[in-house]
Amino acid sequence: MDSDLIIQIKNVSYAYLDDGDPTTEEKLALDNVSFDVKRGEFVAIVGSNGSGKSTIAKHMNALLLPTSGSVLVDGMDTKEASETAPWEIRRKVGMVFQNPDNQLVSSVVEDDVAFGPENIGVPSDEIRRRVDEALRLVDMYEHRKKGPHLLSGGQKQRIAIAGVIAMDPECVVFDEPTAMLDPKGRREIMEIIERLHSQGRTVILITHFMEEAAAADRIIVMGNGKLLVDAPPADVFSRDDLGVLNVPFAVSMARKLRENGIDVPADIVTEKKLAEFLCR
Amino acid sequence: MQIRVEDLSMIYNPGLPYETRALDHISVDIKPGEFVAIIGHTGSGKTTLVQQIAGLLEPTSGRVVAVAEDGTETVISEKGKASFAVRRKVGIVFQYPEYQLFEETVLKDVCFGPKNQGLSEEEQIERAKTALKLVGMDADEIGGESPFELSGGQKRRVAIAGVLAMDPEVLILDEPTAGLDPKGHDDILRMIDRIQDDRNITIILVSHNMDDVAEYADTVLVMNKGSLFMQGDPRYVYCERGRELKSVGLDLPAGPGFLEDLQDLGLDVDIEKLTFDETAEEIIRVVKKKWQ
Repeated sequence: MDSDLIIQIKNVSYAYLDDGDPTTEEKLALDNVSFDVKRGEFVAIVGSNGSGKSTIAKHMNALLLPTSGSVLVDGMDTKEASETAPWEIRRKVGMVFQNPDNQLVSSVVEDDVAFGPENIGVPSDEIRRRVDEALRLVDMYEHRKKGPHLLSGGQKQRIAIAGVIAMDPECVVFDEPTAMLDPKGRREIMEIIERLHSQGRTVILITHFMEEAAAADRIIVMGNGKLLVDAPPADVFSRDDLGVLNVPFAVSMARKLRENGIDVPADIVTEKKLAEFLCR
Repeated sequence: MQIRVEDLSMIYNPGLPYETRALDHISVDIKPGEFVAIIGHTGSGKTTLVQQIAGLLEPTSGRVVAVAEDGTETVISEKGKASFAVRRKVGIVFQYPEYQLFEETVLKDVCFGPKNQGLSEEEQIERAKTALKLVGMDADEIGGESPFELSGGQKRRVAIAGVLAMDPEVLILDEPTAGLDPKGHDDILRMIDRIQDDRNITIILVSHNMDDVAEYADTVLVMNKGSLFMQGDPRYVYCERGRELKSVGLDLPAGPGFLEDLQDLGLDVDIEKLTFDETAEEIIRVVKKKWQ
């Protein structure tokens, strides 16, 4: 066991068996995918609709089990663990989904955040501490007594994140967490994601927004169930052969400036870094 | 057909503790064939306004009228009144419209609107084929397939075709690209732009994406807390009044937004630029001068 790795995806293929009709052709949602995620890393996964991004995400906390190949979470094989101790996996890897309305269960914000730790038998004073800490982390402590239905989409998503954080997972997988939010909501969620990463948690972010992916240490590009590229953002964005990608504004601007004699370093892929460079 | 919104107000739950003024005395004219974008925060009244224009909601006061070429006015929505005749001229594509697909085949699904309009089966199919072509799909190739077997972007195009098949003069789209991947997003926008050109119909686009609005819209309506906060062409809204837009927490398109960041960091740039190329030129000019 390599203790440096929190997630190991080894030759994973996955087939959805949807209709039970034997004449239906089996379509592979994942086709021999392999990669590792190191502890504390921030990895973005991008790709078109139907490329297998969400399917691979659901393998990381045993919501799905590989048809062939294996997934190790902190050294535990998800296939074995899902029979003996699925909670062990989900304690390590928490998951935040696209639609916050599908993730909230209680009529009071703080009860909702407490739901996870209660389920895994955390002592009550410890639950109190974790809930408060998680709500503060997502800047929602002052709303703790409110009903989730009175909150905006971005606020609800922050509550869903707090619920995951209260489980104290080492790694959080975000599956298009900003897809249903407005720009303000998106910014709030990205700030929280970067905050979690800076605290040392492992973050995996599945997104269609390249500006969000640019903040990651590494970007994995999926297409038709296959892993196409696994490289740092600057390398991924410099490739022209990945048709599904929109290059972020900062990357195309840096390119344009280079063509005009302004020597922008190749590793600048975010607007913040580009602005700092131009104003130094 | 021109759309005239006259002093329109909408209050939800009047007299109750939850009373909300969703629209506050809105007046605006939308010209035939115009591409109008409506921007604003979640809860600013964008969706309520387009639902009024589509004749789906009764206002608390004020009205929406359709003005025909010869000057005849027909009420679309007014307290106690709604006109089905005009509703057919205004098509609305809701958020995540693919959830509204329900028929066995793509062709049947697109025929549903014209069928309800009482057209003959032949006419229905003709309309459906034309509408599918407008959204870039071939009825002969895909018409017999189940709409549920299609990809996300394709489903959405079929749903839009279903509205186009009713032959509207005004097409309202409420965040039509939400949740699509970048390619699907660009495809839908280019398609909308093409439909506007081909058919010369009025487009009303509700959007959070300022880059799209800057690129495609003729006129931008900015909603804030139920009021019409600002209106004008993209250059006016994003360049001349960009600071005000930011003061209510709305974003600028990438170009002017980046120039503002540079200005805030002390670089002496002119922020009244809109397109990518204008932005690049301005940065090159200023940075080269500074580094000389």
